[in-house]
Amino acid sequence: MGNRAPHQVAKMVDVITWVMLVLGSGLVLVGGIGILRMPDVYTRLHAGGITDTLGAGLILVGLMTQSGWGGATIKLCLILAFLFFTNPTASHLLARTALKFGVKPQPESKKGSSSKV
Amino acid sequence: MYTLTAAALLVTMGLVLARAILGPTLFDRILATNAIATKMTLLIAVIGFLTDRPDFLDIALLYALINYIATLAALRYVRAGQSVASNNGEPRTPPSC
Amino acid sequence: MLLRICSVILILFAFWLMLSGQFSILLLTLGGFSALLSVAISAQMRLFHGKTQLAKLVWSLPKYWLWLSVQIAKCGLDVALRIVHPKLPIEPSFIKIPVSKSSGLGRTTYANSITLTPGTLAIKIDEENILVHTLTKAAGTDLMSGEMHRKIPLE
Repeated sequence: MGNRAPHQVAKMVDVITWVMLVLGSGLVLVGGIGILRMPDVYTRLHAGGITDTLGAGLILVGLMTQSGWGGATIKLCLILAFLFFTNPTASHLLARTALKFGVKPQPESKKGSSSKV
Repeated sequence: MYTLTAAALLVTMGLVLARAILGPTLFDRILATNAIATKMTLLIAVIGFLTDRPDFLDIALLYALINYIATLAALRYVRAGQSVASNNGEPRTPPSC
Repeated sequence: MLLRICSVILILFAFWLMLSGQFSILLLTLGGFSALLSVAISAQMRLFHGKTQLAKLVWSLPKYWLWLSVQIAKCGLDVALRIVHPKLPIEPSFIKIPVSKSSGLGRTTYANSITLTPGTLAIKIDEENILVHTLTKAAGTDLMSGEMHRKIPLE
């Protein structure tokens, strides 16, 4: 950042934060719409996955750019890491339990492995 | 800009809540609960920045972990209930791990 | 194994310091005590018997995470566009993909990465196959090419 005036750098960081937060909010909203629109549990999990990964990632990284180097950034990193490690596990278990209980995929799938597993 | 993000998160929580109420199967409702809790984690973090109180991040951190445990516990409860019911009411031996 | 336990205690203590950010004697003692307690409980659960050399992963794993985030961004935008599309152009199907990771950690990482990528969802994992639910045809063929499987730095 050598030859730029400090307030210009701060402005650039603000713009980056803006872009990330707006994009993240948009993707979270799209994920919510997807959860409402999709036809069955499995496809809804895909829609929820967008909010959990891209939406959460963009919003948290956007907050990180505002908090600078310090405890807050580390904590945001940890929240992101926990979300990324725990959410897939929860989705996997949810889908597996749903399949075990015989929840049918809504538009019938073509490949034959959708029988009881 | 934090206000905008918070508003988007709240609207999304409303949409997902509608799915929780409509949801034809139990799993739709568990999925909706999980999704709402994820959004709640983000909302707490954003509110921490909105009101300039970084302590909120600790609560968000805790919420992310509790959300995971809660989903797992709910699903495990559903599975255990099924097994007990299919065993003619006899309690099943608990899993080893 | 002793080395492993000691390093875990150190990591947990560093984690405590990061979260608390305070250095009074009482809090340091409490932190050391809780690190020891967590390790004792984990040892009871036999969590220290793995063979993976975690030190080797310090460089290769972040590289993989970077590749994975690019992948997540690409697939996420694709799925997002499909959701807002008025006709909802999805073709969900179940596919079985082979997995040749010998360690449980490798398989878990693979399944977690599959689920983390929007559009694919790992449902059932065993020694040789993973049952995956895909939202689109393209996501399935991407997974079948096995690129992600090759990129994972675990065996």
